Amino acid sequence: MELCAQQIAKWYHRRSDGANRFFAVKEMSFSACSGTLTVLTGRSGSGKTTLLHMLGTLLRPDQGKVLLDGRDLYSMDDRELSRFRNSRYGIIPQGYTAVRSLTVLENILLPVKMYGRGKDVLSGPDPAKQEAQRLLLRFGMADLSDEYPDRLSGGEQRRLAVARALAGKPPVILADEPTGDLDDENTACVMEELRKAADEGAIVVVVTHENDALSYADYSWRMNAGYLAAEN
Amino acid sequence: MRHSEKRAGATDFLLLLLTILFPAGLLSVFKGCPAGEDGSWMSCHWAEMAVLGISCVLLICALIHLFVPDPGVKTGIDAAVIPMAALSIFLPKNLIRLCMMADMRCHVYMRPFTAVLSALILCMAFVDLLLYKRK
Amino acid sequence: MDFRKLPIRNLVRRPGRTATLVLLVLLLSFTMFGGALTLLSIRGGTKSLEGRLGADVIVVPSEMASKVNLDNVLLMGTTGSYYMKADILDQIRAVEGVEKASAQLFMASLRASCCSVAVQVIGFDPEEDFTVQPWITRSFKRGLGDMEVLVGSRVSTEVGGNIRIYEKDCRVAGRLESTGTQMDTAVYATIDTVRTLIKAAEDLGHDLKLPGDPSELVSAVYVKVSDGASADNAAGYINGHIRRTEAIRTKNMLTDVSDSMAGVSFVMTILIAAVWLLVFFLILIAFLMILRERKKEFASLRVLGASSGMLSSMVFRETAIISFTGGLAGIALACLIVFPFSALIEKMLDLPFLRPAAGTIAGLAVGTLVMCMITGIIASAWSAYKLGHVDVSMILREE
Repeated sequence: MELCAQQIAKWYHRRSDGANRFFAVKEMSFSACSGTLTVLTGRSGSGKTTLLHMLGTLLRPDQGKVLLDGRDLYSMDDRELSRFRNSRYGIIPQGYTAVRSLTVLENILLPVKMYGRGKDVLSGPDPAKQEAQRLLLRFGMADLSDEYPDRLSGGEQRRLAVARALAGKPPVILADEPTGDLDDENTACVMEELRKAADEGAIVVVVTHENDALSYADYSWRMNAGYLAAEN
Repeated sequence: MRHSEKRAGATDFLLLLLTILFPAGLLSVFKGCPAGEDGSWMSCHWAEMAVLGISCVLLICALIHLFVPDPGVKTGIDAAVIPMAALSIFLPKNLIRLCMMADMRCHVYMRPFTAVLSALILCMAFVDLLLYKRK
Repeated sequence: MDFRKLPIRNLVRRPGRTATLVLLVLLLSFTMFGGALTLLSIRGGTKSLEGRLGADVIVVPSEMASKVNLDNVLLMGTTGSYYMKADILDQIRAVEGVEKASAQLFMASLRASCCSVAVQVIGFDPEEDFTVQPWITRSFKRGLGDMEVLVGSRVSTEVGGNIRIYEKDCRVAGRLESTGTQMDTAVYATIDTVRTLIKAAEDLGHDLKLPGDPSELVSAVYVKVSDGASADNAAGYINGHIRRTEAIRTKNMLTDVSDSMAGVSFVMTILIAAVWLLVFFLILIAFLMILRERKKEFASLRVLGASSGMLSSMVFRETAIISFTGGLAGIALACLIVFPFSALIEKMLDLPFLRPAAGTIAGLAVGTLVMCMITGIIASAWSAYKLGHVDVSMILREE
């Protein structure tokens, strides 16, 4: 499986620049394959998150195409694309994104249950639930599974978002600063899990400005003012 | 918060409010028929006295319900309030006769007020019982 | 945990907000259902009044007509004790255009040891009556015997029991259908029975100030004009030619009742509309206020794969649950007030009040519920659209 961006660009019109376009992401191509972990680094405002959102079907590029296994993602309508995103993507956005009326465990299982997947396994052991519980244990949050998100610390919320993206074992995992609020120990935990997902065959793309992540990467790229440059 | 730590909730205060309103209303705006010119009472007066008595007992129950924190006592009081409130719905007219004309005070004011307040108190006790049962 | 259960969870986890919205809808449904029920009851009462009033013209003693409000006396059925000579009946029958005329004799019992209840007794002539009779036969099949009475629906004496009037026992032979008027609190007997009772009262020393022997007196004459004849002409003729009487067109009196009913309808309609607008805008504002707070959460749901349609329908489901709960609670509260206190409402409005049939009430409840749901859904439509179409990428970066 290959996630591929062909000559994509994203620009905004800024009033201060007159008629000029401000390019968040300048024309570029990018690709990542199954079983690899790619790290994107760069300074704030360099366009990392914009690129990740375009790869993650969340932001339509102004030019170019994004393809997953040869399928043009932005040619789908919203219904189809949403369902596609649910089944193929595990996205870890920035900030606190838990649903506050659901418990920690329910939040983690929400993507799997959203379209009624995993219903048939109610009687037997539910693989997604087992995976969720394993991740909670791994992230040191096993006793928090019935808590509501407003009782969690910032770091716990981050780890919740990571667990939510990984529990359904999606083929594509996109992470935006997954280790932002975490200490070294938890950073290592999260990066190891992302590495494990890649080793199990997922396409993993991590956006970060921390250099620690580079040691887990197969490929690393650097964004600079909308341009993408290979680091190794 | 565990339930036994909870001393008084919204239902305690609502129950108390209703049981204060009940006798207060019966003694003021929602009185039954007055005594006749010769000083004699009509039958509705005795129904009114009986309902007033029940309403005072309900008030005492609500006070105990409010001030005793033990959940066992609270649910016990609820279980007692429900049949008492039900009784006071049927007391005027069904158990003790009211006056003969349906446009007299006991029919127009006292009985509907008794029915409404008793029904509300009954519902409140029932809701309170359910809330304690669920915990 | 299913995505379809998320609306309920959202509502339960925000009890303050949910309770406020439910209370707003409760206010709306209470006003709509209670108001409409009151209006229908008044309309029903007035209709039954029209039906009961088979007479085109009512003739009463003139000193009576000047003394009291005739609307109340004749339409609401609050009769008094007033009398005129019985031979007036023959004079009226001779008037051109009069098809039928029948006399009634009224008296009032006392609330004292001689009588079991203070009640209006209306005596009618079973042979000639056309105003009380048709209504009576509907629930009472045989003829009314001597010293037998029929009671209105609001006189709570059992059929087969006795009512004591001036030390005379009258057997209660039947109960009449409810009319929603003061006629429900009267007792009906033959004119001969009433004459016996008047004699009994006099024997007990009560001065009824009769202008003659009770057997030669009547209280009112009900007139029906023949087809094609003018009731106005007949009334005018009676007023001009028969002394010490006053003939009143019943149509005029009904117009007065209709006017005051229209007044109540108008006030009620304005009230319902005002409450509707108020609640609509409050719900609208409440949803707009929580729009900001919820944007981030909805963006997260989009990231997890929810489509805009799913998110909009989630908002609508929340609104539907709120509207349904609030609507139902409002209807229950209105029932708890309007039904037990209907007698009090009637007293305060001074209009006939007849509760509509159960089917109509059920229809009204369903209609109210539907209106509440529609109101909630329209008020939240903009928010639902905005939340369904959040700019995910933008919101996720607003940290």
